[in-house]
Amino acid sequence: MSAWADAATPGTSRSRVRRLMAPAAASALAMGATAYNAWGDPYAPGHFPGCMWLALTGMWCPGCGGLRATHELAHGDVWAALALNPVVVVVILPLLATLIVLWWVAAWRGTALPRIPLWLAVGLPVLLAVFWVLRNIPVLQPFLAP
Amino acid sequence: MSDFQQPPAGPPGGAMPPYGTTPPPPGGFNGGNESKNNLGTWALVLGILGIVCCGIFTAIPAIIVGKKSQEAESQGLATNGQLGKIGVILGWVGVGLFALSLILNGVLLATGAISLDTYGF
Repeated sequence: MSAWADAATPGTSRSRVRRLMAPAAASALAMGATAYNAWGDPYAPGHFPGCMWLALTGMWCPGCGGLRATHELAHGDVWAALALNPVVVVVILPLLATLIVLWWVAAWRGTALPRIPLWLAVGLPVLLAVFWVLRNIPVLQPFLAP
Repeated sequence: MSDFQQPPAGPPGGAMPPYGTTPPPPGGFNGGNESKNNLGTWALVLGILGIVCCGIFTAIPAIIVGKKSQEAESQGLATNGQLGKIGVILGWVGVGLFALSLILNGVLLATGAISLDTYGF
C-alpha cells in the first residue's frame, strides 16, 4: 500500500535519487520486456502465454498481435508491425513511451505528472472497443487482424 | 498590560470538528489540491493495459487505484476522480472478460471440447 501512496505523492520532500527510482525501474522493466520479446520468438509457442480470449472465442482481442508487432518493430520492420496490430503500434506504444518520459521529467523536477485530458481518457477505451469490433469483421481482417 | 496574555483556548479536543466531517488537506496547499492526482493517471493506464495485454494483472490494480483516486477527490486531495472512475470501469471490464473466459475455458476443457494444444503451448 505504501508503494502506491509513494507513487501517488509528488513528494518534493523525498530526494531526487529516490524519486527517480520508480521511473528507472519502469524503464528497466519495459526495456527488459522488449529485449526478451526481440530475441525470443513470439511466433513460436512456448515463450509467451496465449490469449485466452482468442483460444476461447476465435476472435482477436485489441492486443492480439501486439507482441509480434513489438518484435517486428524491434527488428526495424515497421510495415510488418503495422500489419499485425496498427493500434498498438500507432497509439499504445507511443503513449507508453511518452508516459515513461513524462514520468522521468516529473520525478526529476519533483512535480506531479501532467494532467490527462478527459477526451483522451474517454477516447482511448472507445477506440479500443471500436478496433475490437472492426478487426473481427471478415472484410477488414486483411488490414486489421494479425 | 498583564491581561494581554490570553488563557489557553478551551480544553483539549474541545474545538474538534464534529465526527464525520472531512479533515482539511494536510500541507500548505492553497485550494484546488492536486497532490493525489497521480492516482487517477495510474488507474487509467492500468485499466488500458488490462484490456490490451495484461488481463487481471493490471485490471485488479486499476480497480484499487481508481477507487483510491475517487476517495482522494472526495477528500479534496485530487481533482481528477473521473479518471479514477474510468480506471475502475476498465478494470471491471478486464476482470469480467477474464472471469468469463476462464469459466468457459474450464468448462470446455473439462468436457473435452478443447485440449491444451488449443492454447499453443
